[in-house]
Amino acid sequence: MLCLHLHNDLECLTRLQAAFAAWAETVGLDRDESLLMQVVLEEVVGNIIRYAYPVGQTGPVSVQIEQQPGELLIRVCDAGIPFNPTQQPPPDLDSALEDRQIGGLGWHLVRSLVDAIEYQRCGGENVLCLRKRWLGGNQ
Amino acid sequence: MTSQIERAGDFCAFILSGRIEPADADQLQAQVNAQCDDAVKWLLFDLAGVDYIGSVGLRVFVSAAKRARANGGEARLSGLSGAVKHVFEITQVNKLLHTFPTRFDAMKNFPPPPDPVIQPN
Repeated sequence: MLCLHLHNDLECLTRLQAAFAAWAETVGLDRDESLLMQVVLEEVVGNIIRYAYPVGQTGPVSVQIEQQPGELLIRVCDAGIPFNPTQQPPPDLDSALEDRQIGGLGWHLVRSLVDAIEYQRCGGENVLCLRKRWLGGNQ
Repeated sequence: MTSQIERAGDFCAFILSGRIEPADADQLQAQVNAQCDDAVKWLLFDLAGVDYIGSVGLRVFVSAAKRARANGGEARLSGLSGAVKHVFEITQVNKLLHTFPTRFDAMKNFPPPPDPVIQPN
Protein backbone atom coordinates (compact mmCIF):
# COMPACT_ATOMS: atom_id res chain seq x y z
CA MET A 1 0.00 0.00 0.00
CA LEU A 2 1.13 3.54 -0.74
CA CYS A 3 0.00 6.20 1.71
CA LEU A 4 1.03 9.86 1.54
CA HIS A 5 -0.03 12.80 3.67
CA LEU A 6 0.46 15.90 1.53
CA HIS A 7 -0.72 19.49 1.45
CA ASN A 8 -1.95 21.86 -1.23
CA ASP A 9 1.37 22.59 -2.93
CA LEU A 10 2.09 21.57 -6.54
CA GLU A 11 5.51 20.29 -5.41
CA CYS A 12 3.56 17.61 -3.53
CA LEU A 13 2.04 16.43 -6.82
CA THR A 14 5.50 15.77 -8.25
CA ARG A 15 6.39 13.87 -5.07
CA LEU A 16 3.18 11.84 -5.28
CA GLN A 17 3.71 10.89 -8.93
CA ALA A 18 7.31 9.83 -8.26
CA ALA A 19 6.22 7.74 -5.27
CA PHE A 20 3.40 6.18 -7.30
CA ALA A 21 5.74 5.34 -10.22
CA ALA A 22 8.13 3.56 -7.83
CA TRP A 23 5.27 1.71 -6.09
CA ALA A 24 3.68 0.74 -9.43
CA GLU A 25 6.94 -0.87 -10.48
CA THR A 26 7.10 -2.94 -7.29
CA VAL A 27 3.55 -4.28 -7.80
CA GLY A 28 4.13 -5.00 -11.50
CA LEU A 29 1.90 -2.38 -13.14
CA ASP A 30 3.07 -1.97 -16.71
CA ARG A 31 4.66 1.31 -17.75
CA ASP A 32 1.76 2.73 -19.79
CA GLU A 33 -0.79 1.81 -17.09
CA SER A 34 1.44 3.49 -14.52
CA LEU A 35 1.69 6.64 -16.65
CA LEU A 36 -2.09 6.73 -17.17
CA MET A 37 -2.70 6.41 -13.41
CA GLN A 38 -0.23 9.27 -12.94
CA VAL A 39 -2.47 11.31 -15.27
CA VAL A 40 -5.44 10.44 -13.00
CA LEU A 41 -3.45 11.57 -9.94
CA GLU A 42 -2.47 14.82 -11.69
CA GLU A 43 -6.11 15.59 -12.49
CA VAL A 44 -7.58 14.66 -9.10
CA VAL A 45 -4.86 15.87 -6.74
CA GLY A 46 -3.86 18.81 -8.95
CA ASN A 47 -7.48 20.00 -8.86
CA ILE A 48 -7.55 19.78 -5.05
CA ILE A 49 -4.23 21.63 -4.77
CA ARG A 50 -5.42 24.43 -7.05
CA TYR A 51 -9.04 24.85 -5.96
CA ALA A 52 -9.98 23.09 -2.69
CA TYR A 53 -8.62 25.72 -0.31
CA PRO A 54 -8.79 29.53 -0.31
CA VAL A 55 -5.74 31.24 -1.81
CA GLY A 56 -2.98 31.47 0.80
CA GLN A 57 -4.47 28.80 3.06
CA THR A 58 -2.60 25.54 3.60
CA GLY A 59 -4.69 22.39 3.80
CA PRO A 60 -4.17 18.63 3.88
CA VAL A 61 -4.49 16.17 0.99
CA SER A 62 -4.08 12.48 1.73
CA VAL A 63 -3.70 9.77 -0.88
CA GLN A 64 -3.90 6.04 -0.28
CA ILE A 65 -3.36 3.55 -3.09
CA GLU A 66 -3.67 -0.16 -2.67
CA GLN A 67 -3.81 -3.31 -4.69
CA GLN A 68 -7.01 -5.25 -4.02
CA PRO A 69 -8.19 -8.46 -5.67
CA GLY A 70 -8.81 -7.58 -9.31
CA GLU A 71 -8.35 -3.84 -8.93
CA LEU A 72 -6.36 -0.83 -7.80
CA LEU A 73 -8.09 1.37 -5.26
CA ILE A 74 -7.12 5.06 -5.00
CA ARG A 75 -8.60 7.01 -2.08
CA VAL A 76 -8.07 10.78 -1.96
CA CYS A 77 -9.23 12.95 0.97
CA ASP A 78 -9.11 16.71 1.51
CA ALA A 79 -10.73 19.11 3.96
CA GLY A 80 -11.46 21.80 1.38
CA ILE A 81 -14.70 23.17 0.02
CA PRO A 82 -17.27 20.48 -0.88
CA PHE A 83 -16.70 19.32 -4.45
CA ASN A 84 -18.36 16.35 -6.11
CA PRO A 85 -16.50 15.60 -9.35
CA THR A 86 -19.06 12.99 -10.39
CA GLN A 87 -21.45 15.89 -11.05
CA GLN A 88 -19.14 17.66 -13.49
CA PRO A 89 -20.70 17.93 -16.96
CA PRO A 90 -18.88 16.13 -19.77
CA PRO A 91 -16.98 18.31 -22.27
CA ASP A 92 -18.28 18.71 -25.81
CA LEU A 93 -15.68 16.74 -27.77
CA ASP A 94 -17.50 17.05 -31.10
CA SER A 95 -17.39 20.82 -31.50
CA ALA A 96 -15.37 22.40 -34.29
CA LEU A 97 -11.93 23.76 -33.49
CA GLU A 98 -13.19 27.36 -33.34
CA ASP A 99 -15.81 26.40 -30.72
CA ARG A 100 -13.77 23.88 -28.77
CA GLN A 101 -13.11 24.83 -25.14
CA ILE A 102 -9.40 24.90 -24.29
CA GLY A 103 -9.90 23.37 -20.82
CA GLY A 104 -12.41 21.06 -19.18
CA LEU A 105 -10.74 17.79 -20.16
CA GLY A 106 -9.43 16.75 -16.74
CA TRP A 107 -12.49 15.04 -15.28
CA HIS A 108 -13.27 13.50 -18.66
CA LEU A 109 -9.81 11.91 -18.56
CA VAL A 110 -10.38 10.61 -15.02
CA ARG A 111 -13.79 9.16 -15.91
CA SER A 112 -12.29 7.49 -18.98
CA LEU A 113 -9.21 6.06 -17.26
CA VAL A 114 -10.83 4.45 -14.20
CA ASP A 115 -13.73 2.03 -13.90
CA ALA A 116 -15.61 3.52 -10.93
CA ILE A 117 -15.68 6.83 -9.08
CA GLU A 118 -17.40 7.22 -5.69
CA TYR A 119 -17.66 10.53 -3.86
CA GLN A 120 -18.72 11.20 -0.28
CA ARG A 121 -18.72 14.32 1.86
CA CYS A 122 -17.87 12.85 5.20
CA GLY A 123 -16.96 14.61 8.49
CA GLY A 124 -16.02 17.85 6.73
CA GLU A 125 -13.89 16.01 4.17
CA ASN A 126 -14.20 15.25 0.46
CA VAL A 127 -13.54 11.52 0.09
CA LEU A 128 -13.03 10.27 -3.44
CA CYS A 129 -12.53 6.58 -4.24
CA LEU A 130 -11.35 5.56 -7.69
CA ARG A 131 -11.31 1.94 -8.77
CA LYS A 132 -9.33 0.60 -11.70
CA ARG A 133 -9.75 -3.00 -12.83
CA TRP A 134 -6.39 -4.73 -12.85
CA LEU A 135 -5.76 -8.43 -13.01
CA GLY A 136 -1.97 -8.43 -13.22
CA GLY A 137 0.69 -7.80 -10.65
CA ASN A 138 3.26 -9.38 -8.38
CA GLN A 139 0.80 -10.23 -5.59
CA MET B 1 10.29 18.40 -20.64
CA THR B 2 12.83 19.67 -23.13
CA SER B 3 11.85 21.53 -26.27
CA GLN B 4 13.89 22.12 -29.38
CA ILE B 5 12.45 24.87 -31.54
CA GLU B 6 13.22 25.06 -35.27
CA ARG B 7 11.96 28.14 -37.11
CA ALA B 8 11.97 28.83 -40.84
CA GLY B 9 9.94 31.81 -42.04
CA ASP B 10 6.32 31.34 -40.99
CA PHE B 11 6.91 27.67 -40.05
CA CYS B 12 7.95 26.48 -36.62
CA ALA B 13 8.63 22.95 -35.33
CA PHE B 14 8.64 22.04 -31.64
CA ILE B 15 10.51 18.81 -31.00
CA LEU B 16 9.51 17.80 -27.48
CA SER B 17 10.73 15.13 -25.11
CA GLY B 18 10.24 13.94 -21.54
CA ARG B 19 7.16 14.59 -19.41
CA ILE B 20 4.84 17.52 -20.11
CA GLU B 21 3.94 18.44 -16.53
CA PRO B 22 1.66 21.41 -15.72
CA ALA B 23 4.65 23.73 -15.19
CA ASP B 24 6.12 22.62 -18.55
CA ALA B 25 2.79 23.34 -20.21
CA ASP B 26 2.96 26.98 -19.07
CA GLN B 27 6.47 27.28 -20.51
CA LEU B 28 5.47 25.62 -23.80
CA GLN B 29 2.36 27.80 -24.08
CA ALA B 30 4.54 30.91 -23.74
CA GLN B 31 6.90 29.61 -26.46
CA VAL B 32 4.01 28.85 -28.83
CA ASN B 33 2.39 32.23 -28.18
CA ALA B 34 5.69 34.00 -28.87
CA GLN B 35 6.02 32.24 -32.24
CA CYS B 36 2.38 32.86 -33.22
CA ASP B 37 2.69 36.52 -32.20
CA ASP B 38 5.70 36.65 -34.54
CA ALA B 39 3.71 35.61 -37.65
CA VAL B 40 4.16 31.82 -37.46
CA LYS B 41 1.13 30.08 -38.97
CA TRP B 42 2.43 26.56 -39.69
CA LEU B 43 3.14 24.64 -36.49
CA LEU B 44 4.50 21.13 -36.06
CA PHE B 45 4.74 19.38 -32.69
CA ASP B 46 6.80 16.21 -32.64
CA LEU B 47 6.01 14.23 -29.49
CA ALA B 48 7.99 11.10 -30.32
CA GLY B 49 10.12 11.65 -27.21
CA VAL B 50 7.22 12.52 -24.89
CA ASP B 51 5.99 9.80 -22.51
CA TYR B 52 3.59 11.73 -20.25
CA ILE B 53 0.93 14.42 -20.65
CA GLY B 54 -2.15 15.43 -18.66
CA SER B 55 -5.04 17.81 -19.31
CA VAL B 56 -2.99 20.94 -18.56
CA GLY B 57 -0.51 19.91 -21.25
CA LEU B 58 -3.31 19.13 -23.72
CA ARG B 59 -4.59 22.70 -23.49
CA VAL B 60 -1.42 23.93 -25.21
CA PHE B 61 -2.20 21.90 -28.32
CA VAL B 62 -5.87 22.96 -28.47
CA SER B 63 -4.76 26.57 -28.09
CA ALA B 64 -1.98 26.15 -30.68
CA ALA B 65 -4.40 24.69 -33.22
CA LYS B 66 -6.68 27.70 -32.70
CA ARG B 67 -3.78 30.17 -33.01
CA ALA B 68 -2.47 28.53 -36.21
CA ARG B 69 -5.96 28.57 -37.73
CA ALA B 70 -6.48 32.21 -36.72
CA ASN B 71 -3.15 33.07 -38.43
CA GLY B 72 -4.37 31.36 -41.62
CA GLY B 73 -2.34 28.18 -41.17
CA GLU B 74 -2.46 24.78 -39.53
CA ALA B 75 -0.99 22.79 -36.64
CA ARG B 76 0.26 19.22 -37.00
CA LEU B 77 1.20 16.54 -34.49
CA SER B 78 3.54 13.62 -34.92
CA GLY B 79 5.07 10.76 -32.96
CA LEU B 80 2.23 9.99 -30.54
CA SER B 81 2.64 6.64 -28.80
CA GLY B 82 1.77 4.69 -25.67
CA ALA B 83 0.05 6.53 -22.83
CA VAL B 84 0.41 9.90 -24.59
CA LYS B 85 -1.44 8.64 -27.68
CA HIS B 86 -4.17 7.22 -25.44
CA VAL B 87 -4.64 10.57 -23.66
CA PHE B 88 -4.91 12.43 -27.00
CA GLU B 89 -7.42 9.87 -28.31
CA ILE B 90 -9.64 9.86 -25.19
CA THR B 91 -9.97 13.63 -25.34
CA GLN B 92 -10.09 13.71 -29.15
CA VAL B 93 -7.50 16.48 -29.19
CA ASN B 94 -5.73 14.42 -31.91
CA LYS B 95 -8.70 15.25 -34.19
CA LEU B 96 -8.18 19.00 -33.79
CA LEU B 97 -4.67 18.83 -35.26
CA HIS B 98 -3.60 16.82 -38.28
CA THR B 99 -1.78 13.80 -36.86
CA PHE B 100 1.03 11.80 -38.48
CA PRO B 101 3.04 8.76 -37.39
CA THR B 102 6.43 10.48 -37.72
CA ARG B 103 7.85 13.97 -38.09
CA PHE B 104 9.00 13.09 -41.60
CA ASP B 105 5.44 12.13 -42.61
CA ALA B 106 4.15 15.38 -41.11
CA MET B 107 6.71 17.41 -43.04
CA LYS B 108 5.49 16.19 -46.44
CA ASN B 109 4.07 19.23 -48.24
CA PHE B 110 4.25 21.16 -44.98
CA PRO B 111 4.25 24.03 -44.97
CA PRO B 112 2.36 23.85 -48.24
CA PRO B 113 4.01 25.46 -51.25
CA PRO B 114 2.82 29.00 -51.91
CA ASP B 115 0.10 29.51 -54.47
CA PRO B 116 1.62 29.95 -57.94
CA VAL B 117 1.92 33.54 -59.01
CA ILE B 118 -0.16 34.11 -62.11
CA GLN B 119 1.85 36.19 -64.54
CA PRO B 120 -0.13 38.78 -66.46
CA ASN B 121 -0.13 38.26 -70.21
